[in-house]
Amino acid sequence: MSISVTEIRKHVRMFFIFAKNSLLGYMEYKANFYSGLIMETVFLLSKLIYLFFVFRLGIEINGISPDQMMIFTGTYTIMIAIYTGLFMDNFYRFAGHIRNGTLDLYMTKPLSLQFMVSFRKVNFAFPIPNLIAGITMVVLAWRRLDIDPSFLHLAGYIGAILSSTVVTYSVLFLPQILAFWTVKSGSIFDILDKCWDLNNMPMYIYPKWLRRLGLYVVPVLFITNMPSVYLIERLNVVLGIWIFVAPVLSLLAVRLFWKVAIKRYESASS
Amino acid sequence: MKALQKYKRTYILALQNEMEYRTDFLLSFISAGFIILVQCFLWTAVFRSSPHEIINGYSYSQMIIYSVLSGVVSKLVSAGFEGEIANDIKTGGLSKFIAQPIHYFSYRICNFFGGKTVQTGVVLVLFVILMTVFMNIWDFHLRGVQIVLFLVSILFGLLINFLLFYSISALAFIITEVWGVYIAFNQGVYLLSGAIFPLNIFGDTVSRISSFLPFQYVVFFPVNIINGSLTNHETVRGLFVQAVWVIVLMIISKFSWDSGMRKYVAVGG
Amino acid sequence: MSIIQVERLSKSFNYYEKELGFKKSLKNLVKRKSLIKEAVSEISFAIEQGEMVGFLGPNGSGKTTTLKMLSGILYPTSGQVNVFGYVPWERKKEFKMQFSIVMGQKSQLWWDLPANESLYLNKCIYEIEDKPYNLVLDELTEMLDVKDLLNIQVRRLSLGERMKMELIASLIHRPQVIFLDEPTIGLDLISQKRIREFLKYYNQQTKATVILTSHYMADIEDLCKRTIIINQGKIVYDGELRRVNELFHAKKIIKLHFTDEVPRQALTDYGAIMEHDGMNAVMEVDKHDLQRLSKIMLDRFPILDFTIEDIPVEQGIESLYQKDGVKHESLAEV
Repeated sequence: MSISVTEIRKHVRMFFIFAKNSLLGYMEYKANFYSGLIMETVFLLSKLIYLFFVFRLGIEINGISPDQMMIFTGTYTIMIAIYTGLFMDNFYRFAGHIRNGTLDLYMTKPLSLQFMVSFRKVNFAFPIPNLIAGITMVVLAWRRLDIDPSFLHLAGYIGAILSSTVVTYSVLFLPQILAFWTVKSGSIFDILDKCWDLNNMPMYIYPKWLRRLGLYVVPVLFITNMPSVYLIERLNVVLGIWIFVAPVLSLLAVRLFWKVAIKRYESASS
Repeated sequence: MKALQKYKRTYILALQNEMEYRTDFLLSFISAGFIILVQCFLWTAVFRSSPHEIINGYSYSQMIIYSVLSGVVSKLVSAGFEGEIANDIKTGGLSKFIAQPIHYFSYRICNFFGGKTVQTGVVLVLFVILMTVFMNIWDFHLRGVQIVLFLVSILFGLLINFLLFYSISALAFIITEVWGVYIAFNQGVYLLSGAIFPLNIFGDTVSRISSFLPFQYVVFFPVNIINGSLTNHETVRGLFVQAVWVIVLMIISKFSWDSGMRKYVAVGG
Repeated sequence: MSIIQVERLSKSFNYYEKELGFKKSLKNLVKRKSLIKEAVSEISFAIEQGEMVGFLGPNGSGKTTTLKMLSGILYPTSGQVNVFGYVPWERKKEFKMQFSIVMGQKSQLWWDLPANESLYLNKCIYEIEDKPYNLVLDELTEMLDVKDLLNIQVRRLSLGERMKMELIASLIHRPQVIFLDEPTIGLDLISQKRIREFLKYYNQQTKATVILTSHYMADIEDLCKRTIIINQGKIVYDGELRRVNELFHAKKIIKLHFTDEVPRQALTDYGAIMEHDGMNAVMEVDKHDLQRLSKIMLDRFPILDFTIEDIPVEQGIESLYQKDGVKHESLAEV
């Protein structure tokens, strides 16, 4: 399949229409929106408790100061906003599309099927508290740590966030694809979802083996740590290369797996 | 005695149902395991980095035991029926309880404890394994009294948690999309019960405030009995406070359900 | 050159035998019996541009599977399909731009939004310019009489109205081939009729090729000159529905009403008795004997009313299904 500029433009445009439709849906069900907002705010608070605790303790933990910890927690919170906003709803729905056969309908549309199942819904309730709190934390810590607010630093940080976003998508979408073979892909996804909790703390509190596993094999730790590691200047050569390679590799893996799965697809009967 | 027969039946039904879904319960332990893992690594790093041996009154071993047990206990006492209640209210399933001579509260509590009986079995096995492991690594002792008091406090904790969630469930009478509130409340109880951090590490003010609230008697208090960080006197006093809370919450739940029911009957279900 | 050509198309599914019981599930973990079900086997047909063809068959006969292969949702096990020059399961964009599939039980509309949002979405997906979009939309809403429903949330529409919106969403890009899978399922008789009328008119107006599957004989009788009857994965009939009965020995049905009770035994010599209750009887009679036998019966029995009818199409089709009914699902162990 050749990728042309017009095709990319069309898909970007489609994304905004999907987002608009999701927003219209929220206007229809305001209670759902507020419900989601309240819920996510409480979850945010429970994550902030870790940070609060570290500040109370006031010591460096494995060489990470409380202010640096705030960078990590802030980035983690921003990544949660991105994940819940763009991906979560779609991933939860995916197995249902196969079961109900709606995937059949999507398949006949002149639009990338993977794109359609990945971005059909945008969540507006969950990311709001996370985005506000996350950005506040990062800005606050940025100041307190006297990091030069240069364009280069900012661009680098945003670049690292983008790289993490791609990795998040790949790591969490991959187990979803298993739904093509087994209905019970739920538990695998659940466990991976819980793995995400490992990001509550910077990877430096974990032993080396777990850190390596989480960075290079199942890159869940990659997601929140890389942008923060870049900001607190702990990026070494290997990690510096990996930050570029990981998103490309993981996205390729997901795409390949998707192609194999879709070829073997035997649509739900009925 | 005949009147009690139907509640016994409800209890047994819930028990059988839970047996069916025991793998789900085990799986939820795996997910709790990740939080416990983060906690253990965090405390290991903290104690290694800190110049002190004791942090906020906890030694390293006490802290690890706390983290593991609080994870397990919070899973055990968790409610999880609030969604079902909301559904009963929304779809009118509650009406059949008004018509039948079975009290909804009794039905729910039998159902709750029926499910918990199986889970307690699983937890007890886990508990024995963990305790043996801890006693072998660290200089850690358990007295028989401690275990008995722990079990009593767990029973009270279960009751308190049941009543908390039963009371809040009545919100479904006034809010239509209540799921967000439920999950938020669930997470709030989780935090305030001390399931993540022991509550006294946040300082005296937090400790004092939380001692006036029912939440810490759900997880924090029972785990501290095992942990050995409470004196006998403190333990007995804690059990007494638990009993008081059970009574207070029963009154609150009666009040919230009575006013909810009035509304429900008024609209006609 | 036909617009759709199907040659020796087959599709078989793998499935595993499920046995109940804990011990058996354990055994299954180690060694599972893999079974093959042939959903479609070696069917061939060709369809001309502008034709409207009905697929008829009992549940699980393979009509939906065939439709899914024609639209590229499923890969076939073997065989060839050519739909206006494309192989459907290559799923080329150019192919997708020119056809449409409507499945009665699956919706492409956004449940919580007004239908026109979903239509606009399809406008973008199919890259339609504003002008032709508005033109086609006007025309279709006019024809289906749903113009004032466009701004109402889909979940508030009735089933029939929803189906009309579903049709508009599928036709907005003016596809040259349309697959309809049970488009009238669950609808009331009036809605069914409206949709049938629309499809007929649309087919005449646009010369689009339409393939339609349905449970309702009326749908197909009314719409399709040509019917392909599929049973157990094979084509058992391809032609005009009305002429299905010519496949059988030509028979007629005689309905009798008596003024006095006539015992069953008295009738047995004249043909096969389908129904009998003393005062009334329904009989199946060979065509060439019809004249002779009816004369005798009119003389002998106290007849009040006497009618001769063709065998209903449903009955003919049922006999068609039963013809291979003896053969069971072809299960093979692998």
